[in-house]
Amino acid sequence: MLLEIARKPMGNVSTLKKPTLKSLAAEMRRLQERVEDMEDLIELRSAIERNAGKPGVPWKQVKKELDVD
Amino acid sequence: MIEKKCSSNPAAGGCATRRPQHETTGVRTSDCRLPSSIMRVYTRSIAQFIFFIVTLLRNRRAAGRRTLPRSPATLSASNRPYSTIAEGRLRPRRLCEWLRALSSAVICASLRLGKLRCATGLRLKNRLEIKEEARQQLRALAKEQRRNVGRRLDALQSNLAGDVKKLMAKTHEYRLRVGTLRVLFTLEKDLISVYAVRDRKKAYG
Repeated sequence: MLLEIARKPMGNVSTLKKPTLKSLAAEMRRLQERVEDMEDLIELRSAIERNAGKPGVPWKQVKKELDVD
Repeated sequence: MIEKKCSSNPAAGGCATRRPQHETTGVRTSDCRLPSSIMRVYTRSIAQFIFFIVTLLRNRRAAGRRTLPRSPATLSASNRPYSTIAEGRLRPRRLCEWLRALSSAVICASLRLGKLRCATGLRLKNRLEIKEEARQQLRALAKEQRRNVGRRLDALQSNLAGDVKKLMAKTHEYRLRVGTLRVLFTLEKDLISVYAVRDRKKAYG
């Protein structure tokens, strides 16, 4: 919905559909998910930096250690 | 299409939104089917390749039986009675055709193998490694949560299944959602490197 507003020229704002509670909730969820993805990305990049050059442990070995099976 | 699935144990992840695999990984089983026109082309190229192999063997056999002409240079390239392989050199035209058929056959074989693997659901397993930090984070989890993550990681390793999302279009950074947990990993070629396992509530507030 916000994307729609962004695409419309300022003069045509009155022609937009009136936002409903449902559409606003959907928009809110979409934005929240986007923010969460960005946070995940930041977290992952910092983890990559912290672990740079460190070797990884094979999953089989970790499974045995942590009794995941 | 998003389907809602709730696990019975809220501690193990609670209610999670699951997406079909093709939406997350971008691979649909129907995409693996090659159009019949392409298959016809490749079948033809295989037949062509077999034909060239048979011709080559026949020519070599024939060359063994016949005697070489005294002056092969007097014969034009198209008039030569048999392949010049016996004379120690290949006709460039013949060689090009042979190589073309060979490359087509190799491409065809790889495509057919890929199609077979898609159709049967068989995939080569990816390699999965856990970084030290992620291992510590896994160790800190409750046993039930750890097992849940373990099952999801197994599925991820075997066929990239699960609620996986690519975080950026041009990079190899992904996240796997396991209830409230997030497994952050990179996927390069066939190597999955897990860098962090975080509880969303605890990690991000």
